[in-house]
Amino acid sequence: MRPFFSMLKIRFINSMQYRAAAWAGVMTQFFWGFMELLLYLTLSRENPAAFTMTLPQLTSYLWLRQAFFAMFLLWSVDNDILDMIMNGDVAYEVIRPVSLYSLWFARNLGSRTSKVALRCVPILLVSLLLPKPYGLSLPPDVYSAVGFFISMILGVVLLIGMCMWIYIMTFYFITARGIQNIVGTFADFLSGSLIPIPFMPIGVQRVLNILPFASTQSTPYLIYSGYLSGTAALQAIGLQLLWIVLIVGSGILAMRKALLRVTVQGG
Amino acid sequence: MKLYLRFMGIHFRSSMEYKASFFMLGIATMIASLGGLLSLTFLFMRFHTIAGYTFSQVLLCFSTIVMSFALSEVFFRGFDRFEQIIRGGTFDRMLLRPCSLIGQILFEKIEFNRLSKVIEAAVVLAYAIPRSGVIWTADKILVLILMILGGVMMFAGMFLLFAGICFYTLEGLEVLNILTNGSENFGHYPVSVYGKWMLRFYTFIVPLACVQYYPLQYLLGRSDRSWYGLLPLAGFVFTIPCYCFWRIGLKHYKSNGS
Amino acid sequence: MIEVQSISKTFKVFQRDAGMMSAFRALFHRKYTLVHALNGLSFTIQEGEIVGLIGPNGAGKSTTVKVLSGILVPDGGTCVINGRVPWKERKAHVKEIGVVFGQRSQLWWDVPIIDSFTLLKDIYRIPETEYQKNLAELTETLDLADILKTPARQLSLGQRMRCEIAASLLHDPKILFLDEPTIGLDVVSKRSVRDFIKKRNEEKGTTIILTTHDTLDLEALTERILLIGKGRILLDGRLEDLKQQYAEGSNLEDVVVRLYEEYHL
Repeated sequence: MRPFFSMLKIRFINSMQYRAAAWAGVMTQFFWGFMELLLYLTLSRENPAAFTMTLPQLTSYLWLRQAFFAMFLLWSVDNDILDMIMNGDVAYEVIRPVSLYSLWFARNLGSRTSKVALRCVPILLVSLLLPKPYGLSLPPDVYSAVGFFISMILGVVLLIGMCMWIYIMTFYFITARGIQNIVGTFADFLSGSLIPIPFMPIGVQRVLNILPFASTQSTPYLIYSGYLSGTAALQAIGLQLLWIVLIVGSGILAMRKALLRVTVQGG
Repeated sequence: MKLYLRFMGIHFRSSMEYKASFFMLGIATMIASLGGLLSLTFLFMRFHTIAGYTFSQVLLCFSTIVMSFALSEVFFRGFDRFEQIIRGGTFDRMLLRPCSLIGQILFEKIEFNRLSKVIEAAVVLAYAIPRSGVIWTADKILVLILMILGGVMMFAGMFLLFAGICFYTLEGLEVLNILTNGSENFGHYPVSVYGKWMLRFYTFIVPLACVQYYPLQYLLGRSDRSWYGLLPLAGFVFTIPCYCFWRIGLKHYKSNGS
Repeated sequence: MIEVQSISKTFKVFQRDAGMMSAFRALFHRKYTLVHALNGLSFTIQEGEIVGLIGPNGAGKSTTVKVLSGILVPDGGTCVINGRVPWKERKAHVKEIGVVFGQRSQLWWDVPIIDSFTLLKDIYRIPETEYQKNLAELTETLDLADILKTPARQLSLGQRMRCEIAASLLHDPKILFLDEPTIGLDVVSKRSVRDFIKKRNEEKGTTIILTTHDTLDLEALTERILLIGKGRILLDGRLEDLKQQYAEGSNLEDVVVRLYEEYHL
């Protein structure tokens, strides 16, 4: 465990250096969330019947999304690693005495948590203090809170599992940057980070609820807000687990194969 | 002018050297902005009108602001990414050349791949124009063009302002993206949907409403004040203080290392 | 020709201690120190001289070159070159100087050298006939004929440096600033660069200001040396005199080491 812990720590210190960036992140997320909230308030006043979530549910969803924004950006991958893969230096990484998959996994987790650790606190605090229609409300009951906690952890693991697939694909396609952008945008949309999934047309919702993207951030937020509860929440968590097994499992195998290719080629 | 055409030629050629990634980036840019369009469409499928505006009317707003932003990204990217120009030492080199600095910066980074976004916006605009319920006359077409140009100037002004700040910080301030990217993103809808206070903010602090909300009122015949149609000119006026600020920043340029 | 009077320039440098806690503290408060890169620097250079600026890393050599070439505006002091203040009449000033930064490139990376040159011709508004004449001359003396059609990124460092020098001389400047022009070059390239600079100075009377860490550059080129340290001129003298004064042997490197020691640099 020790190398992974050190990895997390150095990432953390490293990202602390960018204090301007940290503040910028907080301000941007806050402003962004607030503007969107204003839009939804207008919508709820104009056509309350079409408003599928309750207003407090939606508000909680939006603020959680803003607070944990940096955690769930699929395309925020380590460019050092991408470069390493593209120029072949990755062959030297293989000699490290730990599994490369877990090392990169820890590295990715480290950079994400360090970014979020700083940014989520002020956003959560301020949004909790905001007056009624604007603020973040607490989860309706203990089950939602516990469910959120579990589902959040699963969501992060799943997301990083997907991120690892970006690295793996880089082994095969040399210019990953463009793909990375496209995949990133789609993932943003499919995970309900542009508009919450309950606001999409029913047919689209059905598809998205099955795809792995919704299992990353949408599920935990919907459980927190109480939109998903009881059996529905349990099912959603089950789906998260299923996707983790599939995506992380296949990732580990694919990475082993990809590395084999590099070492054979590179000599 | 001939000189700038040459600069442009050189840039075009060097960006074409990496053909694959050139088109790739173009497509990526386009898809990235499709997310906004898709969100807007989905919301309308559920709510039908927003603050009394129909889908096509909001698309009018959407397409003009997206086009303005994309055009400003094509031509004024140099200011948007000014910290890179400063950090890489390119700005030192520019100071050593006997031509206008503004011109050199403009032509340092021309991103043709953003044109894909311009095309997307044009398609949306073409869809919205006949369906928006506007009775198109010569002056209304003029106002529409003015909206786009005013928007380009407004974004250019903001880029210039941020570039001026770079002279002091030597790094870009990400937080300022709230203003540029924010104006594009929130400009998808007429600003009034965000409430009275945001309308004021986007009128007097950032002139977004002047290139978008007010002229739209004129186009849709929602207001009798015909001078609303001329408000996009505020985008042009906005660049003047931004330019002055940039000139002041220039005196404090501190170059870097070695 | 070049008159510099007590120029000063100060930079803020931010710092941070090691460890988690101080990383966190730096979020709210940043410490900085003021670095006086130039601190009352004065000297005069006559037309046609070759002057070597020496001094350890961080002494202020590059800052000096940047002020003289009009890139930086100093906090105080005056500087007049060819009757102009560089940062006040930037365009007119830069037309009469050429600058080569050894660690940076002014050539467009992806296009053939000759295209970069034509662009420079337009930038400096060099008349066609004059451009052709200068180009032919530079191509011959710097031996560029074979590489003019190659993109800059495909050239070796030595080839690129020759192109850089040609690029900064196309407009026939009166003054040439060379900031570590031989850094990283192999022995043969170094020699050809030196020979060219020497010849240029002798034949055209171009004033040359050179910063370098390579004592062989100094030996081959300069007669006069300015030692810069802590942001000021510590010593201004003939190379010959220095050699006699400081070293029994003729090794210039020893001389420089002694100079640094004597001035506690």
